[in-house]
Amino acid sequence: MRIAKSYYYILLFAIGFCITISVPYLVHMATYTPQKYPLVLYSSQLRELVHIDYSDKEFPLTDKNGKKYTTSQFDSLMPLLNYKQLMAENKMPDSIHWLRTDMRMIVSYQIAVNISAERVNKPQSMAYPVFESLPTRVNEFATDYVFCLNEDAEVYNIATNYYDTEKTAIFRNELLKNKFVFPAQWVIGNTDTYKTYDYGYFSLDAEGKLFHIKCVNGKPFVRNTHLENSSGWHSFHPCETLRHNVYGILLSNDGRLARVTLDANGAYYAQWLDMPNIDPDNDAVRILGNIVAWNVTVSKPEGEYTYALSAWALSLLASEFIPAQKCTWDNINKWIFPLVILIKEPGSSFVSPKLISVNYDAIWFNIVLAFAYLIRKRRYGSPIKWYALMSILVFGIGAFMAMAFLPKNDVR
Amino acid sequence: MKKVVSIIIASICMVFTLSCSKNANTEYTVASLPDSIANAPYIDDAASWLDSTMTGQHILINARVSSVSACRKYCILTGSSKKVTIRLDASGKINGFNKELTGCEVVVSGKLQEKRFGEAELRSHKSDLLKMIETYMYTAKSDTTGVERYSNLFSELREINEMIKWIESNNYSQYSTLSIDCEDYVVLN
Repeated sequence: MRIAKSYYYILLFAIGFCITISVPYLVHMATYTPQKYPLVLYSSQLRELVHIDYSDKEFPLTDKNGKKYTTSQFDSLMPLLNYKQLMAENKMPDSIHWLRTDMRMIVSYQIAVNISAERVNKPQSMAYPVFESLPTRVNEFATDYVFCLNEDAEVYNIATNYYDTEKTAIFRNELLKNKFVFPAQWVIGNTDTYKTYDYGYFSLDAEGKLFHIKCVNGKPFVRNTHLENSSGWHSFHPCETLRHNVYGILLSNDGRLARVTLDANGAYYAQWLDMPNIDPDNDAVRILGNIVAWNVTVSKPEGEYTYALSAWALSLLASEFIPAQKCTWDNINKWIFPLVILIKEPGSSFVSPKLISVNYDAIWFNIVLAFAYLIRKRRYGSPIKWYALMSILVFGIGAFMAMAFLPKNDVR
Repeated sequence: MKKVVSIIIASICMVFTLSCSKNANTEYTVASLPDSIANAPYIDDAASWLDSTMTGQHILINARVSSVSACRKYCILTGSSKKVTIRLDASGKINGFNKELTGCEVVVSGKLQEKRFGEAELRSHKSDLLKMIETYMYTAKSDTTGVERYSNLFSELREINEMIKWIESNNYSQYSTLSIDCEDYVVLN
C-alpha cells in the first residue's frame, strides 16, 4: 500500500504519540510496587523512635539499635498505643511523664490527620452542608441547607433546591460585617455526618484572610481568625479530638505546618510544628498524636521522614529517615523511555497527561532500536528513511512501534 | 443573508443580556442594626439601673463575653471595667454558646433571674468545703487532676468567704447574684 507523504507523517506522529503515552503507563502499572515502610512511632518509655512490625507476632518492636522486644515488652514500652491491652491486664501506669493516663485522658488527646495533594486537589461540589454546631441532640447532623461562597454568599434549601432569600441575606450580612471579600479561595471543613461534633468551616477569602464560619443556634457565626503568614495559606486539614481543643492543621504555601487552637482569651492561635518544610503539592503527611508526642510522617519520593514532636510545645524530640527501596519500574524506566508521560498526574484525581520525566540515558536503547530498524528495512529491501531513523533516535520505543504499525511499502 | 442578520441580532441580544446581568450584580452593604439593639444599655452602667426588683423582667444588655463554660450551657458577661459580671444561661431556643464567642461584644435579650444565698446556708457550705479540703490533703495525688481539684476547692472557698464578708460588712441576711436566661443574642464584633 502506498500513502501520501503528508498523511504518512501525520499518521506516524499520531501513532507515535499514543504509544509514547500508553506504553510507559502500562509498564508502570505492571512493574511499579508501592513502598512498604514499617510503622515508626515515638516510645514514651524508651524516649526514642521505634519500628513496629505487626506481621512479626513474636518480636513486633525494634528499637533504634536494632534490639527486638517481645509482645508483652512491646505493650509496656508503648503504653499509649496498647493501653486497652494493658488496662485489661491491669498493668497500665497511672501516669506517664507526670500526666494522668486514665482511659478518658488518653482518648481525649488522640489525634489523626492525613494531608496529601490528592485530598486537597480532589473535585469538590462547591456546596457545603450547613450543620448546627450546638444541636439539641448530640450527633444530630441532619441538614436542610447548603451554602456556596462564590461571587456572592448563597444558601440553598436541599429539599426544594431553591435559593433561600432570607437566610442568604442574613449569611451575607454576617460575612460583610466581618469584612469577608468574595469569592472565597477555598472552603474546608468536615462534611461527614458521622462525626462526634461540628466546628464548621475554615475559608480563605479573596484577600487571603482566614475566616471561621459555622452555624450556631440556627444563625451564622463568622469570625476573622487574624492568622497571618507571609507566604499565605495553602490548605486546611480538619481533625477532631474529644477535648474539642484542636481545629486542625494549617498548611502554608511554603510548606510549613501549624496546629490551630483557640486560646483562653478567645483568640485563634497557630502553633508551628518544629520540623522541616514539606512540598505541599507532592508530599503526603500523616500525623498520629497522643498525650505525650505527635508522630509526623512525611512521605517523599526519596523515602519516608518521621518526626516526633512533643504534644504540648510541638518541639522536635527525635527524627528518622528511611530511604525508599527501588522497584522494577525505577530500575528500567530511565533506560527504556526517553519521555515518561502518565495519563493521571500523581497527587490529582483528574485525568490529564503530564510529562513526568525526561531520561537522557535512554539514548542507548534508542540507538539499539535504530539499528534493529535498519536491519529490518534492509531485509525488506526498501531504502532507508532518515526521518524514521531520527524519530526513533529521539522518541525511542514509541516511534519504533509506530513504524511497525505503518505499511511496509514506501511512501510516495 | 437572513442567516447573517439573525446571527447579528442574536449576538446583540446576548451582549445586552450579559451587560444587564452585570449591572444587576449589586454591591451589598452591611444592614444597620435596629435602634433597640444599637442603643442597648452597657453592662458597665448596670449598677445604676439593674437591681433585684427587676427579677423576672425582660432586659436588653450590651456586654463582652469573658468566658464560656466547658459544657457550653452558660457564659460570663462583663464590661470594659470588669467590675460587673453577669452569668448568661442558655434557655429556650438557645442551645448553648460556642467557645469562639469569648471576647466578642454581644447584645443579649433575656429574663433577669436572681439567686439568693442565706448566711446560714453559706456557712454550712463553708464547713463542708473545709472538711473536703482536709480529707483531700491526705488522699490527693500529685498529678494534674489532683492539683486542679485542689485549686478548684480553694477558689470556691475564697468565693464563699467573700460572700460571707460582704453579708457581715453590709449587715444583710443574704447574698444575691443576678443572671440572665438568654432568649436571643446578636454578635456585634
